[in-house]
Amino acid sequence: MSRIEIDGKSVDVPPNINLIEAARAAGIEIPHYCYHPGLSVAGSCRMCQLEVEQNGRKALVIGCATTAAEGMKISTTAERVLKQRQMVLEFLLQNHPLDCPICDDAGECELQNYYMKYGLHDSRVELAEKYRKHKVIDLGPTVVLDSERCVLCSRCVRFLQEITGTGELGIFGQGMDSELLTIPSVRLDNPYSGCVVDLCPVGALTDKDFRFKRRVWYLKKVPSVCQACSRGCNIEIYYDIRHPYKGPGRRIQRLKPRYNHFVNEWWICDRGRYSYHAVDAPDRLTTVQTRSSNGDSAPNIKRVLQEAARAIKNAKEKHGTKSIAVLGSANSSNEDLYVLHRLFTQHLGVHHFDVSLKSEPSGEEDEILRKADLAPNRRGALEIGLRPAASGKFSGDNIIRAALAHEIYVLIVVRHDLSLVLRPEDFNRLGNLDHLLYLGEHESPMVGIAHGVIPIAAWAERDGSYTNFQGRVQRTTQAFPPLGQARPEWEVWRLLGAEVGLTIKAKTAEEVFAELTKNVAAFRGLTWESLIPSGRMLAGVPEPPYRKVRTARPLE
Amino acid sequence: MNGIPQGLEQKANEIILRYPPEHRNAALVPVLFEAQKSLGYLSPEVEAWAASTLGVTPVRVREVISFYSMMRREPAGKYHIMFCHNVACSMRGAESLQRYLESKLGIAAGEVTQDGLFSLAAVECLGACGWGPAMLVGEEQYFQLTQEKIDKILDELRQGRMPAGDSPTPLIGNVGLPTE
Ligand code: SF4
Ligand code: SF4
Ligand code: FES
Repeated sequence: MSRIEIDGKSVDVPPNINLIEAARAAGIEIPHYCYHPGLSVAGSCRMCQLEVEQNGRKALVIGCATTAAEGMKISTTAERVLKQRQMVLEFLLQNHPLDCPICDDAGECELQNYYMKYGLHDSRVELAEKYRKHKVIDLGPTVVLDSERCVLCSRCVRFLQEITGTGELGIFGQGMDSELLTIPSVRLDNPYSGCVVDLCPVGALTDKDFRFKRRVWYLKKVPSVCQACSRGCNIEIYYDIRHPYKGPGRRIQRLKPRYNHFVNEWWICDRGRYSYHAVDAPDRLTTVQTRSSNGDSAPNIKRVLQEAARAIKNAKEKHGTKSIAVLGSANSSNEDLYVLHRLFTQHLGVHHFDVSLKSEPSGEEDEILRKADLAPNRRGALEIGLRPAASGKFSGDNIIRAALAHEIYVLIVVRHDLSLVLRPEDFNRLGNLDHLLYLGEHESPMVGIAHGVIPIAAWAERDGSYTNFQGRVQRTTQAFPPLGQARPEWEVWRLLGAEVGLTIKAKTAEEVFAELTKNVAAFRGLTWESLIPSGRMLAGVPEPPYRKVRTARPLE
Repeated sequence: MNGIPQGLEQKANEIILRYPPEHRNAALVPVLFEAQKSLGYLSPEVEAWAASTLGVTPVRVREVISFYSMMRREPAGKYHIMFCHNVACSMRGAESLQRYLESKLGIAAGEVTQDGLFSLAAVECLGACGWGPAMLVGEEQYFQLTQEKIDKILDELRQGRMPAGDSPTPLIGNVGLPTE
């Protein structure tokens, strides 16, 4: 620790941090463009200048490249500091196209923000004299570049060198002619390309998925966790439900990474970033369905659950608990899986249950973030006890085999689309079971063969907690209500419990979680509150050692 | 390799050996200059070859080429003339001399003669402020230029001879009488 003084305030700062971070620790924001805590220091924008007094001498230094040292007296408000900021801004804005009215970044642009805070100068350049560069350069599948807006901070360049090691962007030319570009033979097409848009302090890099969709000041955000693989990167959901008439009813507008020191630092992959489209997809299931209704009256959930309860009781009486099987989902939250476990295995004594199938789709994995296991909560399912235990219990695949072999009479399936793993004739035979109850988010062939169908809420429509592959329990937050008759999966189990004599008192995800922490050893000691903002490790699971998120092969 | 001048690989390997193996990419600038010397410019093939030879991205190669104004991506004439148009030379008459040179060659700065013999570039300081006006032809330097001196140099070059360049040492600058 060293003691320094910032604007008259004494603060103790850890060793080896720069003055931007030191000031942040003291609650003071130093304006900057090129510095980013996740990247090497470039020291090129000069926006972070500060006056430092040390050993009786005063000097202007750049905060990003100056390490805090014992006894430093720092002024962020000295007259010449303010003057420098204004000058830097005047240079940066000298040739800026000022197309804020059509720029996606307006509202969260550091040129706008700093101009209002520190610039407020009048331009000395006529519009017609401005230096022109290139606009609307299609860099790749996700990003568009407007090089006139670029302030040449090189954050994007460094990200692509240091974090992904792919090096698709460069700064070409020198002096006034410098321009952020790429060469025609190169496309910005790597699994993390969307991150350069987050990094860009201005509107030079914009996301095709978000371009011209919504003004950022209409967006609200909630903290959440990515559901697209077992890493569980921390994210923010940006949504807008107040302007449904603009755009095709898309509620989520974009996902952005949320810093988590232990999981994803500042980054997310593109698979996760664009995964939200499923939430507002047109094929979402929104109504409860039952085969017995024959389309006459609109069925309600009670009727569907009563039918299922009757089938379960029948099967149990006639053929025993081995005739009932549950194929849950590793995409379900801890709360869903806990209530499912309580209901089926503990209360009903159902013998066969699993959440996994051997042939589940897997994704690409790398040493940066992406995991091959695309389910966000397989670890949670295992910890809660949804693992096919040893003797005589069927794994997911065997459950299906047994169902086709008439050993299973009642089958409950969550999310899995079995038409993907069975030959069509076998798949259709599942419709001949005594009862097939299907819970899902999306339209699927399962709906056609199930006796009862209950739509469940998507992750953004509900609160929940998920356990990532490391054993870190993290929380998602409801951004908006579920569509139609959809509801959180655990609520469905709670209602079904009521039909078969199990009372579950918990009425919110938080209350379910509290019960879970009491009854499942692995979750003991955790509280709903403690999962915010960065999650907690399961009881007895040590924090994995810190690892800087980056490729093993950065470019020099 | 296609489009890579004979002997370039060999030379590149010699250059690379001068740098620590983990900083192989430091050889990028000298290797590019070597390539430009043998080919006259840096073709797309050379760019791609340099990237893979030195283990850097093609974008990095382009960054370097575009940064150094002495690196060319367009073919130049057999004799590439770099004529200084900075202030010291201009005060010694470089501006009118450049116009003279342009009219003699029939091209403007930035162009190549039809026969491909000459190309002309107006460049920043050649470090010869004391002996201006100054120009480079290839790697030969010529100082204290006059119309006559330019005539003589171009005549020699047209006959395929490279006139000996001036060396700064015996000159004591433009103070006093020209050395002629
Ligand atoms: S495009 Fe954005 S991130 Fe990249 S150098 Fe320009 S301003 Fe910086
Ligand atoms: S690595 Fe996994 S959790 Fe992280 S953003 Fe990508 S898909 Fe989501
Ligand atoms: S942030 Fe320090 S120079 Fe750019």
